[in-house]
Amino acid sequence: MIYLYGDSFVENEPAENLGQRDHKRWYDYMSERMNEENENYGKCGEGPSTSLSKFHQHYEEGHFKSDKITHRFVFFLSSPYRIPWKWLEPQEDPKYSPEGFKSDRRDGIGISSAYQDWDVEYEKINHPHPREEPLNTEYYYTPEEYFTQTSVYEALQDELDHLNLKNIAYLHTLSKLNNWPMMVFRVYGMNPNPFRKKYDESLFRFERLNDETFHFYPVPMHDQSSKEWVDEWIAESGTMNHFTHRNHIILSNIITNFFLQKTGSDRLTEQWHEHFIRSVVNPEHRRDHDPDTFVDFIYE
Amino acid sequence: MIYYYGDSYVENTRVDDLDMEDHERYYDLVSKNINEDFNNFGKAGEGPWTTLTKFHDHLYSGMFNSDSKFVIVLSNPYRIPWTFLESKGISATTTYADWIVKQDGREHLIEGDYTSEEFYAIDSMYRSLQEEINHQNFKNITYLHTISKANSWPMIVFRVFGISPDPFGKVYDEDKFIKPFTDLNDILFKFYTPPLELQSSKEWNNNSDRVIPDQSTINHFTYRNHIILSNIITNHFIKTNLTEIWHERFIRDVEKIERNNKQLVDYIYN
Repeated sequence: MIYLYGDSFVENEPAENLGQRDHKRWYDYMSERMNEENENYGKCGEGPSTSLSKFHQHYEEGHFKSDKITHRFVFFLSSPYRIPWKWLEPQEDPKYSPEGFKSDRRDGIGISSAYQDWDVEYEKINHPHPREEPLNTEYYYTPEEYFTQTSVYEALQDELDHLNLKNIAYLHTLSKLNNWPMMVFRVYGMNPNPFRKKYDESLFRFERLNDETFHFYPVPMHDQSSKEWVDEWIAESGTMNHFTHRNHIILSNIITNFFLQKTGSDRLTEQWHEHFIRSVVNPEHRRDHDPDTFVDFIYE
Repeated sequence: MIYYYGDSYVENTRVDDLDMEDHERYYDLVSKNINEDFNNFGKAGEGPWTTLTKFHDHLYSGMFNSDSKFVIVLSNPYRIPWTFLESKGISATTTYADWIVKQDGREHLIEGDYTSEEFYAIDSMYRSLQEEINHQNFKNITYLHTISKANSWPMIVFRVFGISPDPFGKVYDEDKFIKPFTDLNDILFKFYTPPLELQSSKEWNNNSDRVIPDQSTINHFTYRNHIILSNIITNHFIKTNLTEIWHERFIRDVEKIERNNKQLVDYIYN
């Protein structure tokens, strides 16, 4: 069994949610090639704290105990600034949903939306653009909630910036101690952090941990996804798991090669397709809930 | 050079602050044993987030070299270095203690002065990141292990507290969680599993409730156990075979004594 944890790079999201024509995903290809089922616990917008909490819960419940099967793991570690605040839950009280905001809070706020909104507000206050109109947050936040976010981000900045390195080291140890084949990806690099601090990532070449049981793939997946675009700027992020079909195959190849220890001519290509999307047509179809209309990408 | 990081188990505290008679500390003894200087960055009351931030700052500044050795003491991860408390002079330990007494409905014991927003932030953070905080030191241990390996740096890591129960009453199987981490131990890296706070409480006779009646000992240990702690560190760094058996249950009581016109704390031994 292959267990998958992570954010939107992992979740088996219905194609119609994205206004896309469906196609097989990297986890479908991976399972097909390995003849092994997967359990997908990915969830759009979640951060590594939530991914690891799910994993810990499964671990503590004895989910990976059976010695009759091999337990394999794929982790996508997203932004550590995505914190699962308890107050993101749905709020019925109208005071949480005043006029003038794009979305109300009756359905709750996604973890990544809360971080994006905080970033918008923080930039507006601390780095206002002299000419551009400031962006607005999607949701309303109480002063206590905004203060909480800022305080935690400021107090734990160094911790959050290094959290995924710790997660990689931690997962590596668990992989070794339990003899679990495990592959870990990260969605973002350390630079720049929201306070514009820059780090020398060369001090942490954690790919030196790699061996037959554990593999850390150092290229941030968000960067790889942006390289699908000619100018490396993602004009529309509605592709499934942030990759077009051809790169779902590449991603599945990378994982399959590692888990099956493929070598030589047996090894599947790991060469990403890059710089092939020129623009996007009908991006509004992403959210129109019509299963017969699609977002279309224009290829080179 | 040996670098020390951690909380009050590490800080080279002035003896005047504790009203104690001075004695050599375990870091002095280690340096003597292995003939190497030390740099002590310990600070009473700090949590592992601050400890690791200091370590990172030094790492990025290029302070360390191939001869560096490390002793790292990981304290309570619920000690958060809130920036809003800096100007108020409230420590991370006090804030955590204040939050605990508020949970218990003993608000009259709160020491710090917090705005409602600040208390909301503290409470919200603990509740939202409970799981992350509880596993924080496991991650720190594996992370430090990786850094030790990657740089061939000899390193010994201690923890001050166990993980169970957490402040919300969640109980973990300490043995199941901690024991596997000793598999990381080898010639370069050592994780010393018994929590130091538990070890220092064992200096007291008949201490069944694990409450230390007086905290004035230097780095929470009397001199004889400073020697033991220095032995553990020395053994790891230079592969000696000094005794690592702690002295236990030998303090019967505490009293104030007059010496050189000063009131000092003294202990009554068995």
